[in-house]
Amino acid sequence: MLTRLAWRNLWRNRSRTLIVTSAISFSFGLMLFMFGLVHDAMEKMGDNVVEAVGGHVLIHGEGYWELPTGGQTVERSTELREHLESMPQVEAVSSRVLAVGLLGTAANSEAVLVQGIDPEDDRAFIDLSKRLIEGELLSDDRRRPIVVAAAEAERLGLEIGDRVVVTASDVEGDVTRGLFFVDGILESTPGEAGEGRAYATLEDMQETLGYGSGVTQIGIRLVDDDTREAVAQQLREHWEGEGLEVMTWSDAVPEFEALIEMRQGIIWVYLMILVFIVVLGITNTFMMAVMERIRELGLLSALGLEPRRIGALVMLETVMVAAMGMGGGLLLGLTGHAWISRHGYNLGATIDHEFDVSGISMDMVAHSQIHWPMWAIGAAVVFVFICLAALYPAYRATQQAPSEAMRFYE
Amino acid sequence: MEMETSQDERALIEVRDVHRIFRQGEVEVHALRGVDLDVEQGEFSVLAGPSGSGKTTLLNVIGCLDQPTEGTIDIGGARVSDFDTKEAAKFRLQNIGFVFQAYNLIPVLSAYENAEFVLMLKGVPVRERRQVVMDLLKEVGLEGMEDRRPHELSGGQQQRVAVVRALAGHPSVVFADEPTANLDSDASESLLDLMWRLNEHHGVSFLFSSHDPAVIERCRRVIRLDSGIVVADERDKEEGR
Repeated sequence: MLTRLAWRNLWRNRSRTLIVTSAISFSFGLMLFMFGLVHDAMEKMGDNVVEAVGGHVLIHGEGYWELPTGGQTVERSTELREHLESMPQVEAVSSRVLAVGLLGTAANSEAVLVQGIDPEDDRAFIDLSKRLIEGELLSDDRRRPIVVAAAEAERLGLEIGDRVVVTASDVEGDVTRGLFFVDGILESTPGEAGEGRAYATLEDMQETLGYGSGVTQIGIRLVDDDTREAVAQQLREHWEGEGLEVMTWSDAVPEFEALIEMRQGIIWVYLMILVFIVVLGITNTFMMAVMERIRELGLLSALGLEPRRIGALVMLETVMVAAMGMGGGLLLGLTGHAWISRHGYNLGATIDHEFDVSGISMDMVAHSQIHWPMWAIGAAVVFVFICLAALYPAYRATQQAPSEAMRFYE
Repeated sequence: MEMETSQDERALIEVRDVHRIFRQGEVEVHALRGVDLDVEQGEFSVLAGPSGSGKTTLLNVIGCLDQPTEGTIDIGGARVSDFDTKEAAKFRLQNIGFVFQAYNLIPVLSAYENAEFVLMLKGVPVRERRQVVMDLLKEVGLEGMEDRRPHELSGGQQQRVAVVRALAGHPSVVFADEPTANLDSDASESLLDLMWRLNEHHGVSFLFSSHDPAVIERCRRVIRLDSGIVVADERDKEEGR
């Protein structure tokens, strides 16, 4: 009976109920829509940074990240890879030789980071073939192939098949040189696979720098980014004393993690302000609904309805409004998500340059991804706040002495 | 919270030295100034008096809608003047029926649902509820009108629904505060006939608060109040028609 009474009470003032329900729908829908955008942006930022630094977790010889000198190789890399490949959290592993050096022709030279990679292994981290604008990607049919960015190719006047010399420190720290042939040219974007980088095969770089089977870096791609700290810690403990440094991408680019946290914080503050405004509106509405029904609530009390059940009646009406509003909000949120997922929205449409953080370029086209735990938490927060908003009106309803309330009948 | 069943020698309602003082800031209004009163089972009585005499206040404190500032009230052996709000609500539900002046039905419920409300709160099974309510609606001449909302009924019909609601829970006493105040004379007469008949048939006590001469004439006992005290108690009156 209370449920029936609550439901019918809601529709006594149809326009007021519709306004409150719409306000909840709009706010909740907007919140879910924002969640979709933010989650997609975070995922893309995460992917960008993982591409740029070479993995969720990186393993180097001790001291390499602070001051790479050429001799800091990863010891027992074969055993290490076997161990990594047996871990369920690990999606892919790639061994690399990294060398900061010069890419030179007879006429000129450019400073670059040359990465010796296994193209098959590295595809799980960054698919260079998608950025290839000319030539091949480290093909087997070319001797000592190298892929360079378009910017360097232009400045050095390089074309496919041209010879270039890579000058870098070898395993002993001495300067050494190696001859390579341009196999492909990549599009130029700051960071990641673009400007300032060149790619050769792992074997050619090991041979050029005298590493034998040694590597400079092992990049680890994880199934879930959230496990990166746990995996790194597990590896540190397992390989302690082996002269390795294990770091996550957030250790490698701490300012990036700070940026992500700041963006998340701003979004939450914005959403909390939105929820607060809705909560004020709901408190006001239900307060009005209680005050204009004082004599009726007094009547219910006079008939024997206990105060707590009178409060429950008001709360029940609130829950019904919340359910309707949040149902509408879910539909709005899903509609917004579907539209933005399909069409995307270019956040960078108003700026005429690439947007990058710490040299890592950002994808400025926003899409949407549903992160159900985030949506569920958001829904729970909104629901709890709406119920809290009705607590005071419900309390006031329980405090009506029937004789006082019944005076309205006189 | 049920009333005691064996009440040898005791009146259904015993009011002893009841005072009710309303405080508004520093001003005190003595609405009741030491009322003593007994009401027996099956009585058809009225608290009469001019406006401000304290009749509604007395009806409220006896009906557990308000608490006396001083004094005691026992109904069926239960010391209701000591009840807290929760106990009072339970007691009202189990033992008391109310008919108020006007607009006393829940507007979003139909006549049937209004009448059924108290039975639902008491947890009476559906079938029994339907039987009791439909019988009473038929008895008060509202058969066929059970699905109407209050605004679709006349004032007299609304009061009949209120009477059905008051009686549906089988209370030992029904308190009626100015039940005819908003009715025309025909509707008043008809409502009083109905209540008289129900009092006769069901044995339930009726205690009115009214200054309507039609009500006062029809009651067997008239308790007259003035300035918060009982000034006259006319018992065993003949019915005025």
